[in-house]
Amino acid sequence: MAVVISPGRAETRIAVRRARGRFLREARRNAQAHGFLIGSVLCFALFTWYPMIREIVESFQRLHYGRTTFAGLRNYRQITADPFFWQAWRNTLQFTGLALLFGFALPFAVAVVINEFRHAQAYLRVLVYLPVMLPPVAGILLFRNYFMDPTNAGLLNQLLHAAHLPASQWWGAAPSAMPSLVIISTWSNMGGAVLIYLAALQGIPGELYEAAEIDGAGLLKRIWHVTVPQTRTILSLLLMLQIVATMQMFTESFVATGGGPESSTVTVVYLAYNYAFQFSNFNTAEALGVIMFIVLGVFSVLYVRLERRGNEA
Amino acid sequence: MSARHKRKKVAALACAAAVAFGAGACSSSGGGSGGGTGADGVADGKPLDPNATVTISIDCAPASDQPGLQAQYNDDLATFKVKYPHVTVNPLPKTKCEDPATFTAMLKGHTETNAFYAYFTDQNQVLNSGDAADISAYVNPQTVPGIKDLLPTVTKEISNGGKLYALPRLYYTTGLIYNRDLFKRAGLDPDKPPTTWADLAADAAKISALGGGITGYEDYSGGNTGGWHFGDEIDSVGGALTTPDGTKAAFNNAQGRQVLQNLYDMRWRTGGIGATPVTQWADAFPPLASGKVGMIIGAPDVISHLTNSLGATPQQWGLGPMPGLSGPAPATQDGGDLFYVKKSDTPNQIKAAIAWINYEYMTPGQGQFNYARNVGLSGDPGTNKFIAVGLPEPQLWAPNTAMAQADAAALKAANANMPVANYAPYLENPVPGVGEPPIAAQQIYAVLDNAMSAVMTNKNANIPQLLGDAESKVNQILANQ
Repeated sequence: MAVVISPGRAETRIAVRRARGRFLREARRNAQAHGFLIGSVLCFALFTWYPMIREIVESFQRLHYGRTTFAGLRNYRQITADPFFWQAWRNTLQFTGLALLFGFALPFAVAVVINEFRHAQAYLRVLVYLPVMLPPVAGILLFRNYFMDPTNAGLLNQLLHAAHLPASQWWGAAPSAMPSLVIISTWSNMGGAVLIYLAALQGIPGELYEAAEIDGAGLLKRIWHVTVPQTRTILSLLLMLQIVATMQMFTESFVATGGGPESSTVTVVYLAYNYAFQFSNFNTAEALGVIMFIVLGVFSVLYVRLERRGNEA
Repeated sequence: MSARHKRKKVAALACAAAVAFGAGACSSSGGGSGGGTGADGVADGKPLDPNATVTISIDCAPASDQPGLQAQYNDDLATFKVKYPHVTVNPLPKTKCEDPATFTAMLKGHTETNAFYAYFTDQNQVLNSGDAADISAYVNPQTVPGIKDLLPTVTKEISNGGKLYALPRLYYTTGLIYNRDLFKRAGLDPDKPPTTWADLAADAAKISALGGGITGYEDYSGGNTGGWHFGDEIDSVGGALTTPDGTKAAFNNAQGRQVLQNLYDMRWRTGGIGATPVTQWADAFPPLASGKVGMIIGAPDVISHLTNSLGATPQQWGLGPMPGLSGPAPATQDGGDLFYVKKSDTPNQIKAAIAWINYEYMTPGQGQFNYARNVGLSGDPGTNKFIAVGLPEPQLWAPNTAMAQADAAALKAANANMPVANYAPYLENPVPGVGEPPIAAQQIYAVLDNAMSAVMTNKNANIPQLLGDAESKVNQILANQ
């Protein structure tokens, strides 16, 4: 029996064939890009997404004598009942607040000052960036042992003494320990932020400053009305990154103070480390990690929404 | 499509595949290296057949920064090879035998060597990992002759629930490490270290009075080491950290107050303790080695660390008993380390691991106990080629047993290169060791860090309040286990 092909069906076939040809041509053209993409996606999947999912799953499990069992919310109950849980959050928030005060404002101020220099800018950039190149542990120990020694031998205490001011115990006493860690952290990390601010500042057209000067604006007014609005995107991005990074502070506490004195520098990540590697309780450490993840996630969403609303206004 | 374009595409795909396979390789957990190439053997309680072909891996071998100990280890491997020509021991060198974080990650990834090192206090996490073999069927006086002569406390640490899981390498009880030179400079008798806490405080004050940044005594207060030393010190005044079953805190009492008051007085009244807190285990040693600290509570191997790794002079150091209230302490914390054998090992690998551990760590006159050879291989004191011989450790053997006598005879014959007379106060006043808290020891230490750091950094520290607060936190932790 002869098969009759209607003109409509033939057109559809041709259209399908053309579409397939287009797809194959496209795929052939992009094969290289897809090849690279597969590698990256696999890396992300294996080293970022898989561990995250695994962490969430294991936070509901319990390992006992080689056997893993479902534990419900037991790990979450254990971590929230830990006497250090709330103290760790308080300490973390204290560090974040202080680090924002110093670590956010200071690099911006330094960048503005360096930007004002016509000469020696490159040298100043290197000088400011030098501490970032030091291995973190070496930088922290250097600061702790030579600058902030609680005895009168410490450099900062000698400076205080020279200025007829009372010496500080720095990291050696609970009230001053966290501010000391903030100073160490700001010193060792601000170089990167300064360079980013400098790049943003150098992208501001000079005419804006000239116009402001003609309008009679002084230095502070020029910063407030020209520099800040022009660098707003960078400022808000770094603010968010800084909050996320400071909430995860660990190295300074681990290396400089061991969580002390009087647990004043036990942070959330330090507590998670203790659970995983000192108390041999990975599952509870993972529960704390998930709580941290949720807190930072909620913060990031709120921040992005507020930022969007601010831009729309 | 041009040939160049084709080549680029192939390279891209190869690259992606390499990344994917590389990642897969990284993410897979490695088993133990090696494996029997012949029969796997059986758990028949007999020693390893000298004709069996077996390969095992073991960690805690000396690293290249300890050339003296490395030479000793290599010499032992060569001698062992003569006895078991078909056994290959692949050592995994480590500068520090256990880093707690890496160790926990290793258990989590099941990447242990065929026989793997651990501290006594790791038993819970090792058994929890399910990776330790029950070696009860393999160990007997025929395969490990020293097993019956071990100290009862050591036997307790290598067993659990009536099963044998490990073989020991080292056991110690804590004592008082002191700088004899500083004692002399302060007008104290270096042969008579303080044996009571009151004497220790008085001596510490005299040493601190030397000035120049010298401190009489230092103690830990962070990184869980403060609570660990609090445990040592409360045992020394007749108290305990927890009830014997480990379910309740037992330190909020006169003994606990005494420990903290003593430290508070040394820091704020008599000046025996300086202003710089010691917050990590390793932080205590540089000031000790550089002669800035007079005394610290520690195990005998602190002296070998000071001499082997930090270049201190052996003659400078003395070792006294743990101080108590009216004389040497009635008890002090003990500790040590051991080797587990991996559960996935074949019977012959287990036998080979036991044979090697027995040879290297548990036989007087051989391996770590081959004192005469160790002295011969040792470099000069103060260099990393130095092998300390004559320190009162590893202390594995019960007194008056055949092993203890053989060990003492080997040491006597070897002409120790450490000043054995400096350790006489410790050896003549043996203090019985007690184990660490059986449940949540590190969590208890973390809580007590608080009290330790408070009395040494806060002049207004309220000791009863600190202990009450610590007690409720520890009980809360123990109730949640």
